[in-house]
Amino acid sequence: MPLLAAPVSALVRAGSRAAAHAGQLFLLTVAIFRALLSGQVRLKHVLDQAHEAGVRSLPLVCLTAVLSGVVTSQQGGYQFTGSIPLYILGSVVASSVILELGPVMTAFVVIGRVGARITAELGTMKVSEQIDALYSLGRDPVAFLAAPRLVAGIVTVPALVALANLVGLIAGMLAAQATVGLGGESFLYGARLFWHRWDLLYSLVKGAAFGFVIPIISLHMGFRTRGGAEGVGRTTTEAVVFMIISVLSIDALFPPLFLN
Amino acid sequence: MKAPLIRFIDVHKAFDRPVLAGVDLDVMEGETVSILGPSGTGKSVLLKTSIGLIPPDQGDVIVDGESVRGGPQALQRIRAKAGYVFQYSALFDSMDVLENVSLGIRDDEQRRLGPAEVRRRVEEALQSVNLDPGAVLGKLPAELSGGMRKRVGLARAVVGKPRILLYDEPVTGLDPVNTAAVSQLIQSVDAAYGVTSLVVTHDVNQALQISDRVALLDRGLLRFVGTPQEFRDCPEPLVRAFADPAAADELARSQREDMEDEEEVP
Repeated sequence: MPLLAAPVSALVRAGSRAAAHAGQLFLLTVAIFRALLSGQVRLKHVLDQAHEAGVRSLPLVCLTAVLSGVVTSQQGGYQFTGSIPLYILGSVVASSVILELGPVMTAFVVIGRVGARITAELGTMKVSEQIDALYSLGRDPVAFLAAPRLVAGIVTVPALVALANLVGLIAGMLAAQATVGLGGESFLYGARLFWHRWDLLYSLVKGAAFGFVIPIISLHMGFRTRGGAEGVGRTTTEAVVFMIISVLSIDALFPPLFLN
Repeated sequence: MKAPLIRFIDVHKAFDRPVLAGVDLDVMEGETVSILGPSGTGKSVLLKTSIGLIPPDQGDVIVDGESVRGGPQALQRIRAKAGYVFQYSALFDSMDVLENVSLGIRDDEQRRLGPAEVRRRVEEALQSVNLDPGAVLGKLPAELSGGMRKRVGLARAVVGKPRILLYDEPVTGLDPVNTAAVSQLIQSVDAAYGVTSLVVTHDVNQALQISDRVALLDRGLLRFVGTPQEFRDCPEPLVRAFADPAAADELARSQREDMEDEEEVP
């Protein structure tokens, strides 16, 4: 029994920490929606954040989409040559990019570019008393800082996913032509062969889920930062780990929920 | 005798250790009170309890008849009466000086005034802290010197024409010339706006220069409250340590010896 005491107590501690995070995330979400409904959120702040999260993420999202499409196409071409009709490669690339790589690689870019920045930014504001300053100036930090970032995430990430899907598909098609000589027409024929009309919607809904979960976690972690510059660094690292695990968990939940 | 505008009543606050252990203090309308004390003794925590940025664990703070424990609406009304000057100014890095200072005017007031009047008030506030609006309005905080950031922080605190000004270590990190300038500025701003001021500082000269009364906070309690002259004349060793550098050396030596004696006890 004493042997089990330490792991059980560690498990209980981890469970209570996770429950505390979940509770705080829920309360933050409620507070954000309340701020949105009460009309306290300025459109200018939302547009600024949408520009930061969306427009400025475009180059990196396109780069990862190109690489995802090219790698999938090259791997598939290598596997299929001499065994499976090559036009099937179009279906494999389209499905891989649209159902999986487009949303997930975009989410990873957004975690690195936007999520980490939000946590570090809010954490720095917390430790340098800027959050206190907002309260003293009669502004609600949830309406002023959190709500615009969350709305921007929910709106821009699905748009980025849509773009990543298109770019990944084109890159995959060009790579198929360059590596295994599969023409664009055959590639698109293969892509259409196993295409379901809800695949794109599935991809965009997944993007919206990531667009919600990344900012809400980064905001939550930013608001709970303590301990100066070191605290900001520590909290940002924790937030990135937390966001990656959450994105992959949601990604694993989506097929049984929506594809069966 | 004027009525107290801010009343600290038996204020207790603990984090991982007790910080405030029953602070009682009345700040009268129009008065400037400075709170002195050793570093880490809870001066800033006490200041933050006055507008509910940190809620007291026990006791209460009454501002103009309203309790900081009276809920969000009461806190909003209390905060609307106060301007807060933060230790490191707490300016928003992504906003220029115009946007930073205009935050000191509440949203509903800004809507009522319109952009041109808001800008005029911001310029007026900047002039009252000896800054040239034309030179700083469009600048970001990172483009300003430490002294200028302090002034912009002060302008943000006064632009909403508050009845109360709360200063948290207003001269921290400033050289002696800027320290004197900021002290004079606090006096002139207090006089111009006719406000009640609570100043947290570790700078004894500044406290004695600008205050009607001085309070000394140590180990969670106010050990002295009186006029600057009473402070200078007080024979208490802790007060002497703040009033006279030689007495501070003596007190530090005696505390070190006490600690060494305690360590030697088996």
